[in-house]
Amino acid sequence: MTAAPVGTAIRAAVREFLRGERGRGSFSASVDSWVLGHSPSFSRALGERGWLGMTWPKRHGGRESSAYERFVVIEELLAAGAPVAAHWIADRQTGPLLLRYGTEEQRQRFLPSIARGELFISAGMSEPDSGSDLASVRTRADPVDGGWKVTGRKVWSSHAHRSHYMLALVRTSPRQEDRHVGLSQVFIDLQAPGVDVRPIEVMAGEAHFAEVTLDSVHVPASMVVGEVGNGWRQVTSELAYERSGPERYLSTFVLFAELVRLESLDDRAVTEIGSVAARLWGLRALSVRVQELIEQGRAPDVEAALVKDLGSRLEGEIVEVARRATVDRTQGVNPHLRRLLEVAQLSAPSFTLRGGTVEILRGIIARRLGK
Amino acid sequence: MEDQDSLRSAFSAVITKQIDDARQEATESGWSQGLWRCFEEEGFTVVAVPETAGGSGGTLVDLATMLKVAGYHAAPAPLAEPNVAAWALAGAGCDVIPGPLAVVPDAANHPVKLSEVAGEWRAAGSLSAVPWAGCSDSIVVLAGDAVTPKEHPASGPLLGVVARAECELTPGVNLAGEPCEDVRLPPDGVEMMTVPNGSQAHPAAVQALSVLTSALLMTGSLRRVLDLSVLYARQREQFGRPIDRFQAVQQHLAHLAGGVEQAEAIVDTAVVEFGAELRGEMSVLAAKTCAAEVAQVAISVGHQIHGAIGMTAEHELHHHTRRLMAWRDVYGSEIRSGRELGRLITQMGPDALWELLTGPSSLLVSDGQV
Ligand SMILES: Cc1cc2nc3c(=O)[nH]c(=O)nc-3n(C[C@H](O)[C@H](O)[C@H](O)COP(=O)(O)OP(=O)(O)OC[C@H]3O[C@@H](n4cnc5c(N)ncnc54)[C@H](O)[C@@H]3O)c2cc1C
Repeated sequence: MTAAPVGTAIRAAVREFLRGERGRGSFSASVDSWVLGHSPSFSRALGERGWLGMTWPKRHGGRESSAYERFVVIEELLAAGAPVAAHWIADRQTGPLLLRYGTEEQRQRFLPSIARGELFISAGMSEPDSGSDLASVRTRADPVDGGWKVTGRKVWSSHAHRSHYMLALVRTSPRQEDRHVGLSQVFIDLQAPGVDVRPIEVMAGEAHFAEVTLDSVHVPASMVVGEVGNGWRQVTSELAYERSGPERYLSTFVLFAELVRLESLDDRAVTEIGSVAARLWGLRALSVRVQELIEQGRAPDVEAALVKDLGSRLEGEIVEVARRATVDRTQGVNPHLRRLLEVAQLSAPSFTLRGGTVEILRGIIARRLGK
Repeated sequence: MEDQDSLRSAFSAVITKQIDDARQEATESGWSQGLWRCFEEEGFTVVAVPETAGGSGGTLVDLATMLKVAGYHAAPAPLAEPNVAAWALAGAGCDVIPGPLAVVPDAANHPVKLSEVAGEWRAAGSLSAVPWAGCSDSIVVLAGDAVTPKEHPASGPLLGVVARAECELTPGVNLAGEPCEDVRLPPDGVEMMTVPNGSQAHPAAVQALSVLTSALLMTGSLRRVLDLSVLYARQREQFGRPIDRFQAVQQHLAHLAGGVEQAEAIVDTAVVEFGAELRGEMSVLAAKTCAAEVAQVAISVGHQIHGAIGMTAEHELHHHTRRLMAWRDVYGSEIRSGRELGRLITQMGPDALWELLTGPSSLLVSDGQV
């Protein structure tokens, strides 16, 4: 692979940076750190090093790095359990979406601040009655002078209560025979009048997502992304970015690494560790292959869905393996590992839900096979 | 049977009436003192203890029924431990002690030292992760010959009672947020009395009963997760139809339903065998192993069916799934119970294995069903 030498240098730089940050105590490793680790200062530190918006054009605040280099940076951050949640959505999906569909004005307005780690964006797709069936969204945008008036309710929007904007999927014309027609994507300024953001506490005790109620919120025409009515196609490509990354199998890697460090593991645990490691290795290789396809300008939807399906189940299995290896031990299991395991157990049920449930993903995969 | 039905509905009504207040109270302090007081006033904390010893004069089958109900409602107050502690005390010939009781069935699983001074045994050291220790008044500790010195073992099992106020506790909670603390015993130790051999206050028996209570609580909770999931799948619509019309969802529900029925069957068998002193220990190990394995299915299927809403603190589901996470770990996980059962079975050989599966309990279950 020609990209490898490039990757090596940047990998070393990220590791060096992480050593420094850990040394300064700027973060402690967490499982699911791309959801649970919200740290604006850490995001800014990454921005300063040019590790956000890496693949974007320089004139938009990017570095024009390869997809593979970005992959290396994010897999190092995830494997270290670094707090990357604040910028995650903006860097992963909103930025690329703007490059593809946004106006030049929108790119100028959003991309450089995202790349500096200063502007955070949440994803507003799901609604109380629209989860897997995303095309059924009911949040409505009616044309008014100079823009749109948006009314509706979005839920599960990760970190909406800590973000500046939400990119919402809304209905801009009444539902027709084909439900995919008449949808659009608009930026909602989360400080705007009529916007109410209510954090939702999850069973682990945190509130990492929120409900966003929109009551006749005025959205200027300039805040519509892409074409009015083209929302379905756009959101589908946004979901491809959302599903293809290494966060879909690395959410519990810090726990796995801590487990491997443990002394006097029994035979059963060692066997299970070997099995997980083998599959993790295979999955990473597959994930790199997906990056290469993206780099070549292809859209590896099926492969991305496969990585997410396999990955989200494997990261859950890691939790079970770690539990089985430690549950009956009264000694030799440090509190850090116990804490990681606890948080992982409480987060694990969401792995196979968020970003599209495994049932939906498998449907996508099966329908495309052999085509 | 009928008795158990009326006990089940009566106890269920007691909990249902208070559950909202109890959950509210538990959100703040980890448990509901109100619910506990009600349990104690009604004699629900000393179910399987003879009236002559200050108990309610019920049976282990009664206790089993009540634990399933408590599990079904995820009742946020101690029920299993006080009952086990009282059962052990009664077995040792002691009167029931008031107040929430915690229990350590076998000191061998904890960093505890036993020593004899002038004919009197004392236990010193620490107890790790004792369920409900923080809200108990006293802790009942049992020890067998595994912890007394080999050179001169105690003449029988040992039992001691220590006031919580005399111990030093390290705050802690289990995965359900319920009190579960490390306990440092008083520096001069806890007086341990010798229990007559053959009494039920034997660490092995108290350990087995504790394991069984965790399986019973899980069984109730598993049933609730199944009920919640079936109901939700019927009500939740996506793509213009209830999600229970999708085969992927049906497969999940069927998978869980099979597990729940199977776990109930073996747990009921274990209750009968344990009560009748048949092969109590082995059936309890089987019960724990099955229930805890199905717990994993319930956690994953329950949440998968419910989608994002099931992850929220407001939804009822996590009261069950988090308790399943805690109960499958307590008094030894399914890994330990499975290994112990496997060891016993491989020692016994194939003929005895078949005897075990087809033995007398298979007749008892139908009329002793709980
Ligand atoms: C931690 C977390 C973070 C999230 N962050 C965001 C966010 O930032 N922005 C956002 O918009 N959303 C977010 N979500 C929401 C997420 O996208 C949805 O949970 C997901 O799309 C599923 O929708 P639902 O929860 O409504 O479940 P439902 O769609 O109601 O599904 C319930 C069950 O039915 C199954 N099912 C539904 N339809 C079918 C079918 N046709 N065939 C087979 N099975 C089916 C599902 O697979 C699932 O098992 C987040 C969710 C979680 C858990």
